[in-house]
Amino acid sequence: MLPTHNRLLRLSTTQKRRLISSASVLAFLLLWELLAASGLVNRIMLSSPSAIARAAVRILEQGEIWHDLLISGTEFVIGFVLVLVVGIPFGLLLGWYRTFNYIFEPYVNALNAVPRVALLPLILIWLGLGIWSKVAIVFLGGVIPLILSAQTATRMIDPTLLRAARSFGATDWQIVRTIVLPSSVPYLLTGVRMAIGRALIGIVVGELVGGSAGLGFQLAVAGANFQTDRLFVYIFIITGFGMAMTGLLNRLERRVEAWRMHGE
Amino acid sequence: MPHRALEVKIKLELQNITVCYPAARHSEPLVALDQLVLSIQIGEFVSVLGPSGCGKTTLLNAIDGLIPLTAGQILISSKPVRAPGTDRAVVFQTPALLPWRNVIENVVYGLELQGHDRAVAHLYGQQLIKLVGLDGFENHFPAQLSIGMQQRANLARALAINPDVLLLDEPFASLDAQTREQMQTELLRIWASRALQMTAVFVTHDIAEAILLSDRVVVLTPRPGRIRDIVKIDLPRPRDRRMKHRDQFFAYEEQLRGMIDDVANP
Repeated sequence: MLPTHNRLLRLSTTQKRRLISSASVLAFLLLWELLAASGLVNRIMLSSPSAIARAAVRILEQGEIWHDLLISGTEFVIGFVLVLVVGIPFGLLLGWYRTFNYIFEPYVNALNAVPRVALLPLILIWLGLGIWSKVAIVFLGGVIPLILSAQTATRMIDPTLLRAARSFGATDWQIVRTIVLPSSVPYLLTGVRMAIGRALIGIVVGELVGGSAGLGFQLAVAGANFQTDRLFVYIFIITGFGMAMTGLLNRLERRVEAWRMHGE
Repeated sequence: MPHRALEVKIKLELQNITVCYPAARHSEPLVALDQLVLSIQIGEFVSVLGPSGCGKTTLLNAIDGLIPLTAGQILISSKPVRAPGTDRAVVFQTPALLPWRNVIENVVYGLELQGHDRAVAHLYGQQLIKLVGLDGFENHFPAQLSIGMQQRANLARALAINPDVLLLDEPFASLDAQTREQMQTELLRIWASRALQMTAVFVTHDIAEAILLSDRVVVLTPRPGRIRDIVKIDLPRPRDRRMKHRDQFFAYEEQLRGMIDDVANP
């Protein structure tokens, strides 16, 4: 075996992954820059990494970005907290009580079927152009996948565990706390993962269509003015936010699901 | 030993119990247990033996209070059973451990549900872990243990709530032959260390296992489950697996096998 091969092999899997992934991104940015510099493609269409970096510095210097981040962040946080607070108990109830399911299933199915964007004009009429219309769209986007995941979770509970808990005389609440919630965690995390994606779509589309501030609103402004470099700055911010949330969730998952990793 | 006591105290009484399952469409209701009568003394170890489908597990669930009786009643310490209670604990056929809890957290699960102090429960749980031979594995998760070890934890969890009546539902059925024999010996040892306080009902379809462990063996008939016979096992205690080589043991085995063949092919 060649010595260079050997050195690469001695790195841990994580190190190897990081190294190769970083190299891939760097190569991509370099290629982009070269393509833009070559003049083969219209620069307004393509922009370039260096132009984007300059635009980012300008945006930071102007300072309005903090206001936009605050607006979009507030919409996301309020909307997402509502998603968690409503989605998890509602989904669990839906899975647990048949009658509850019969009552609410038509609405959940209808809301799942309709693209939430279709409701946006209605929501704008009801709630106006401020943050609450975006909170509503974030909520409607994120809550459905979480409800459905929580509902699935209740069907996946090991019946022998329920029998054991009942035999020990567990109360309903004790069963929820010690069996239902812990065994639902993997499904809920999947639901939360999907909900993050839907919530971000909600913010961007909501602000694009009917916003007066925020990251989506700035996208709309930059787009209307053909400022591709500025557009890319906002796209990257939103991408970074989404990836950070997913990364955070992965860490949380590793912590709470430690028992699953053992013994494998 | 209970049979030496002057005054025999009854712990568990089945008074004419009948359990029917609701009928599927266009058929008669299924009679799982038909008018069972049985008295079990304090400290007695009774096995329930029978071919599959004879309602062994139904009987255990009924004693545990998980399913309603169609007729008759079950008395524990002269009080009728209506729901699961802290005077009974079940060792399930599958270990049924909570996979997200380590061994000690699983062992104290019953105590925790009953609202016992955490520190006290852990101290007691530790003793039981030692009793079932799991010391050193307190912080292991079920997935890290063999099925045999999981079943030890399952037993410790049932013993932890210090039940008057221990119900065992074919607890060794899913173990390989060697582990099963080991666990039978363990159960004999644990039983010997706690005899007189605890009463056990052990469901199994393994004849030798029933003889080795029990003071009496109840043979059930299938569909409907009725008591075919009750065999008193007069082997001295303490017992171990060498007991299986005695002529007396073979005689019990022959007798019970005959009864099982009889009820399985009437």
